[in-house]
Parts: sequence; structure tokens; C-alpha cells
Amino acid sequence: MNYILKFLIIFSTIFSISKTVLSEELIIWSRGGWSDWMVEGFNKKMADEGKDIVAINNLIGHADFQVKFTAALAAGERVDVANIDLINVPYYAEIGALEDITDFLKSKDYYDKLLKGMLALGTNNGRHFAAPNAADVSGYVVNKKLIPNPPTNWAEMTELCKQFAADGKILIAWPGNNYGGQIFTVMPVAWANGGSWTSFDGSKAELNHPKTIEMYEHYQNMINIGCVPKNVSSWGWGDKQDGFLAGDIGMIGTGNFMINVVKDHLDKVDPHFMAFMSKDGSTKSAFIGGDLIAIPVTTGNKKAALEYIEYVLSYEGQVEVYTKNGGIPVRSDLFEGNPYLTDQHMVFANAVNEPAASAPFTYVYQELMDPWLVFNQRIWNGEDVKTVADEQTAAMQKIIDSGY
Amino acid sequence: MKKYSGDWYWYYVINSVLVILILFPIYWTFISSVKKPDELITSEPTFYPHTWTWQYYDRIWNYDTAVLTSATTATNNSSKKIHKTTGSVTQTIGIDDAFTNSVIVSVGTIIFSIIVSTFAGYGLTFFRIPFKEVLFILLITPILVPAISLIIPIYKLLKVLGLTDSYLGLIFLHTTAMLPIGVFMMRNAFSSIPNSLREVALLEGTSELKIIGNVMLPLAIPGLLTVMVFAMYTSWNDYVLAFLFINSPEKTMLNIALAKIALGGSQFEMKWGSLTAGSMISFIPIIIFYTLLQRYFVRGITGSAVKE
Amino acid sequence: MSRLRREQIVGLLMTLPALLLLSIFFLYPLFNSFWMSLHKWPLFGKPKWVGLDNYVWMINDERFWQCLKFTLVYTITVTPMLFIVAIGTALLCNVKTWGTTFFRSIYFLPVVMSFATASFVWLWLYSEWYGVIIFLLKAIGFGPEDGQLSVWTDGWTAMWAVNAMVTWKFAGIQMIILLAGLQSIRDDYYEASRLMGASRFQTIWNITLPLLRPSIALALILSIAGSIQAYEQFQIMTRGGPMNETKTLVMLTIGMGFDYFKLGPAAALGVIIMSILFVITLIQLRLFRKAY
Repeated sequence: MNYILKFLIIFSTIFSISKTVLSEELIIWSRGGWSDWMVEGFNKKMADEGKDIVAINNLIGHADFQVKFTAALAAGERVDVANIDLINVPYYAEIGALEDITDFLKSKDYYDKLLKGMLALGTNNGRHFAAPNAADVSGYVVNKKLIPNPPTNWAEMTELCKQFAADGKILIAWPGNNYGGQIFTVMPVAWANGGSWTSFDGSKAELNHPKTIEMYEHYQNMINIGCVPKNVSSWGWGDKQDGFLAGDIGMIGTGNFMINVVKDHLDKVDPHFMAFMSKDGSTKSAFIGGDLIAIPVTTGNKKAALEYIEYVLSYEGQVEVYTKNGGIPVRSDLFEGNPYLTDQHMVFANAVNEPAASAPFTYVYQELMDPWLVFNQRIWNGEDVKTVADEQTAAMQKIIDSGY
Repeated sequence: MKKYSGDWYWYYVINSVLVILILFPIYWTFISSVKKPDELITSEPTFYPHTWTWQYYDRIWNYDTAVLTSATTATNNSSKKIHKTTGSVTQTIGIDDAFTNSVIVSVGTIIFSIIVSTFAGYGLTFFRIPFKEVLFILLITPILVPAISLIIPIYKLLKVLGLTDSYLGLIFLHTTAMLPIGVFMMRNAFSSIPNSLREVALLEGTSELKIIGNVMLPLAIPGLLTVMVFAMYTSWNDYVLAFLFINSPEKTMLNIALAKIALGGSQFEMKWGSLTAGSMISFIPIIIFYTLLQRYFVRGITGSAVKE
Repeated sequence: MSRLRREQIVGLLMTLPALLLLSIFFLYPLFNSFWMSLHKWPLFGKPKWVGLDNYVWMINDERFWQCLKFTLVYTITVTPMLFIVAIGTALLCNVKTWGTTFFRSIYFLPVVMSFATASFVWLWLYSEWYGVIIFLLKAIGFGPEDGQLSVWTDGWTAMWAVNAMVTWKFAGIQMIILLAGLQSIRDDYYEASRLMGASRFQTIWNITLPLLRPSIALALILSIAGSIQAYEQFQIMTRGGPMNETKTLVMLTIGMGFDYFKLGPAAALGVIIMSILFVITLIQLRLFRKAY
């Protein structure tokens, strides 16, 4: 008996030592460039506090993230913390790929200040599986060199459109060929107007909401008037952005990152940021996008992972790292007195609080992108909006019904 | 082959026109890769480069693909991969690294294909193996089944073997794709060597391996070269397998890296110079193989030399 | 151990590497694909047997029929293009004169280039802003005066644009196959027809083509099989084209498996593609049965 006991004690000591040695490492998967600085800051803090945790950043980039992350999960590869595009999170939460962090979040005093729209996408059956950590908010940017008086409602936009068309210039352009870009910068205008993409729980496709149809007819009208390029359905994200930065396009839909980007082009552009608006301009909206941070079930060290999340959501993480580099914090209590939030940033920060601002909830985002893109392209190519909306909504509904 | 009995004039005219049509895209790609940007990005293209520059080749070889698609990316230091215009990161790779990756996989495929095909062809020719014909047919079957139908099971298989995202995994797959041609060629090559040659060497006490190395291979060089040429062709030009089964940016193959340039950025950007330069670079190794070993390409297709 | 026994074992050992590769990377996935197509594969948890459900689901999905239709239309349009160019150049090269070898090398040249590279080359040629083909077309008079002429905005023109590239790229291989067939036709036949006073056209129609049947069969089988499996050319040049009008079966399979992670249906698609190929090849072999 003594021998066995001794052996067990020695063995468990070695085991726990080696476990600490091995589990020191924290594997983080990220999408955005700022994550390097976040990880740097975290490691420094851990060193200062004498804790033996070292985070390693795996910058996957957003083009391949979803595919690679899903493949890693399927293979059981160890990932301790993942920064996931929020629109994909409901799927991961639903299939049980993420750890439950409800208690951790609720214990924080800023819990009810976390951006609700984002938090909702990380919630499944009342439990939280992901927390917001990086907000990417969308809105219009207007070049005041070309448009001295930015439009405040659709009627003004149409007027401007006629003027620009008469001069042979482009008032507005959008990425007709890019499904992500359009859900980020075109759909929110429909939301401001009262439409929706899917129902709140993601079970119904709602593209053919009358208010959505009204908005799409407004945009289609602008193409007909001639202030939008006729081939806008083949335009990519880079096309419209480069066109705007070169001073050739009056206004475009964009995100808060643009605040930093446009600084290099002030010779051609005098930027004015504003939120998407409803027909009469009274209701505003935005796509509250960005990342949610979560702990996959394949993690090797949940405790250390929670430390990392704590850092990310702390003042230092949100303000000193994230906002300093142009982001919008995910805690509304950090909007006030934030040294890095300029007026331009506040346009986006305020849009977040608008009731119409949101991000759609769905389990099958990847597959829905197909009918969504076709919906947009058919309309930009001139087809009747209501017909297209009905057909594409049916296509989307079919995909939602067959599940993931 | 008939001796030509018609008008020489027509023959040369038609052929010359065809040659110009066929070579034109390649010629165009080449001159596009050396034109200065203002002559390249214009709605009035010139058919002969009035200006000459190697800048695209330099850019594509030394900088990574993020820089290549956008004129607005500030940094040219490939360790900083942050794409300035969107503030987000794209995983990038330098073309020089992608080129090396493709070379590694192609050379690996050539070596493996030669070894495996030679042994299999030799065994099937000179040994009385049970079910010899059945085995031979089995080895030819891959040519009938599209690789695409098998990508999902292959993906799972590679995961189980730990070969996803590895040169070795890709090499194995390419070699398997080469089996029908390789084994067929080598068996043909060895069948034309009289059995007596081998018997005599065996009687003299030479080991089997020595026989293969010193006697058989030199006699089977045409077959070997055909295998080599086709292995290069299959591996260097592969797109689907390289795309699906290689994930790390550092291991990206040349075709895929070039595709990233082609599909990235916008219509108005500078990517065309880089893309045409990259296409020429990708074309060069295979062109070398072709010029030197053309008849082996043809051989592989027809199973025997076309009369010259 | 008897000499025969030893010979058998050594022989088997020699073929072993090839057989191993074949079994692991071909035979096993082949059977596995059938197996996978009969299950549902959740990301976490065990695969569930669903029998033919994946097939039923796939067949009831409009996306499948759209891609199937396009793949078939593409095959039907590109095959004659390839064949005509191939037979033309083969006939041209079937003469013994100075320059023939040179011409033959040039016609075969595009074959060795990778499919991806060829796609880039032609993408540049077709570029709606700076491409030289667009420039030439406009010079002839196509397209709107001020606007951009793009071959990619309409599914039909996009397909023909890609067809042109594919013909340029692959006619060479078909040419070599047909050429080998041509060269195996004995000169007596031509002598006889010349003596009988047949015109060149009559000779080709009545003598050459029938005798060429086996080569034509081979060329067509390879060409059609390749077209049904089309992927790179459309993925790179049209990415499925305007609104999925140029999406092929293989593109759908890869999307189903690697973008949506629906592994069961993806495997089922793979089996469906294999079956289609099998049936078509069988039909072609039947049709060409009468070949010598």
C-alpha cells in the first residue's frame, strides 16, 4: 500500500508539474491585425503579475477563418481562444463547439454594458457561449468635397442623384458582387426603414418585407437615374473603396475602420461619417459586426483562456489596445471619457445604440450567402424587386429549413 | 504520313496564321509583364512594349501577395502583413516561397513516381505474380475515377494520417494519380527488354537491385523520362488538391498563390503586372521540360512515339 | 522455399509500394465515399446512418440541377470546338514536310501550361478595362460606345469566353491522339482512293474518318470526361459566374463539403458525378463499338 501511495503521489506531482508546463501556452486564433497588439499586451500583463501564462497568436485572417476553424474543430485540434466573426457564432454555439461562459460574464460589473446585439449572437437558450470583443460598425462616408451637404433622407439622396447623373458623375456605389460587403453596408438601410433579414431567432427568411422592398426600390431607382454605375452588380469591395478614396465617388457604405484609412487621402476626400437612415431620415441603423470571443471545447486550459478574455474586455484591452487602433469598444460604459473616441468614432458608437441596428441571427450563414447574393445581383441588374424578393426568400427559407 | 501534294503556299499560310493565334496569348502575357504601368494599364493597349521594365518580376519575387494586389498598401516589408486599406490581415506568401513549395512537391512526386513505377513495372514484367493481370488493371483504374469524387474521403484520410497541410500528403496524392501512366509506361519499357538478359545476369550472381540499376534502367530511359515528364506535369499544374489540402500560408503552392493575386484586389489595381509576371514564372519550368523532352510528352499520350 | 514461391514473393514485394499507394489513397477513399454518402456527419458526435437521404436531398435541391444543367451545356458546347480544331490541326500536321514538327510543337504548347496559369492569361486578355480582346472587339464594333464591354456579365457569353480558353489549351492533346491514329492509316488506302479519282474531301470523309474511329472515340471520351469535371477554369475566371450561371457540379461539391461542411451530401455528389461519368463513358464505348 505504501508503495502504491508513494508512486501515486510522485506520479501526480510530475503530472501536475508537466501539466502546468504544457498548459502555460495559450493558443489564440484571430482574424484582425490588432490581435497581435492585444496578445502582446496580455503577455506583458501576465509577466508583470508573475503569472506563467504565454499567449500565442495565430493570425488566420478573415478570408479562410471559418473554414479553417471548423476543420480544426472537426479534427479536435487544440484551440484555447477563438475570435470568431459574430455572424458565424450561432452555428458554433448550437452544435456545442463552445464552452459556457455565462457565470464568468455575469460576475463582471460591466455585464449589462456589453453591446446587446453582439451578445445576443453568442447566446443559446439563455446561456452565453461567446462575448463581444471587437466591434466593426457600418455607416456611410460622404466626401464633402463632392457633396457639400450630405443627404439626410432618401428624397435628398434622389435629388443629389439626378444632379450627379446630369454631370456624369457617380454619387454612390456599393459592392454588388460581395455578399459580406452588402450585408454590412446595404442591408442596414433596409433595417433603418423597418425591414429585417431573418426573424429574430433565425427561423424565417424575411427579405420580402415590404419595407425592405421599398428600400431596394430606392437604390434601384438611383441606378436607373444614372448616378450609380450600371454594372454595379459586378463591383467588389475594393472597387468602391478605391473609387471613393480617389475622389471619384460621392459616398459609399463603409465601416469604422475607414476613419484611419481615409487619413492618407485627405487631399482628395473630406470625410463626413453618418449612419444609414430610413426613408424620412428619422430612424438610423448600422450593422453591428465584428468579433465575438469564445473558448472552443477543444481548449487545453479553460482557466487561462478566461484570463485572456478578462484582459480583452478590460479597460486596458478595450481602450488602450482596441480603441487606440481605431476600433469601437464593446462596452457602452467605455464610450464616455474614452480618450481615443473622436467625433467620427462617436457616429458609429451612437449608431450601435439605435434600436434598428443589429446583426442577423442564423445557423446557416455560409449557405444563405448564395441566395442573398443572387437577390442583390438580380435587383441591381434591373429585375422587379418584389418578384426577386419573393423568389429569393423562398430559396433562403428552403436552406434554413434543411438545417445545418 | 503522306507526302504533301498540294500547294505549299496554302499550307504555310494556314499554319502560320494558326501559330500566330496560338502563340498570341503567351506573347501577350510576356509583353504585359514587362511594360511600364502607364503602358500596361491603359484602354489603348500596345502590341509591342515601347517601355521595358522588370519591376513586376522584382516585386513578385520579393514581396508578398498582399502588396501585389494593392497600390495603396504602405509597407513592403513582408513580415508586416497588415493590409492598410482594410485594416485587416490577409494571409500572404511571397511568390519565391510559393515557387519553392511547388518545386519541392514536384520533385518529390517525380522521385516517388519513378521509384514506385519502376519497381511495379519491373515486378509485373519479370516475375510470376499471382493475379498479375488483375493487379495491373487495378493499378490503371485511377484514370477512370475523377479525383473530385474522392476529395471528402481523402480529406478525412489525410486528417487521420496527420498528412493534411503537408508536402508529403500532396506528394502521395500526386504519385497515386501518376500510377496508371507510370506503371503502364515502365511495364511497357521493361517488356521490350528480352528476359534472357536478366537470366544471364542472375546466373552470374548479380543481385536483383544491381540488375535494375545497371542493366534495366539504362535500357528503359525513354520510359523513365516519360514518367518524369508526366510526374512534373501532374504535380506542377495541380490546382484542386493543392488548394484543398494545403492550409498554412507558408506552404501554399504557386498556382494557388497566383490565384490569390488574380482574385484579390479590385479591377483598377496594379495586380495585372504582377499576375502576368507570375504566370510567366510559373510557365518557365514546364517550358524547359517541354523543349528538352517534348517527345516524351507525346509518347505518354499515345503510348508510342509519333513519327517525326 | 521453392523457386517459384520465392519469385512470387519478390515480385509482390516489388509491386507493393504501388499497391500500397493505390489501396490507401485510391481504393479506400473510393469505398469510403460510398459509405460517407449514406451517413450524416455532424461536426461533433458520431455519424448517423441516413441511407439514401443525402441523395434524395441533393436531387431535390435546385442548386444541383442548375449546376448539372450548366455542366452538360458546357460539355456539349466545348467538345465540338475542341474536336474541330484538333482534327483540323491533326490533318495539317499529317504531312511530311519541313516545318511540320515545328508547327506540331506549337499547337501542343498550351497543353503543358497549367490550367490555372492559362486561366490567368485569358483573364487578362478579357479584362473589361484593359484587356486586348475587349479592345479588339470594341474596335470591330461590339459593345456600347462609352460603356465597358464585359464578357462576364452574361452567363452565356461568359461560358463561350471560357470555351475559347479551353479550346486553346486542350486542342493540342486531342490533336496528338488523332494524329497517332492518322499515322496508323496505311498509305495503300490513300493510293487506292487517289487512283479512283476521289477528291480530297471525299477521301477524308469516306476513308480517313471511318478508319480514325478508335482515336476519335478515345479523344472524345477524354474530352467529355474532363469537361464534366470542370473546376479550375470556372472557379478562377467566373467564380460561378453571374449569379451561379456558370457554376459546375464540381464547384458545388467542393462548396458543399468545404464551405458548408455538409460532408454527407458532398460525398453523395461525388458518387453522383462518378456515376454520370460512368454512364456517359459506357454510352460512348457502345456507340463506337463498330470501330476496328
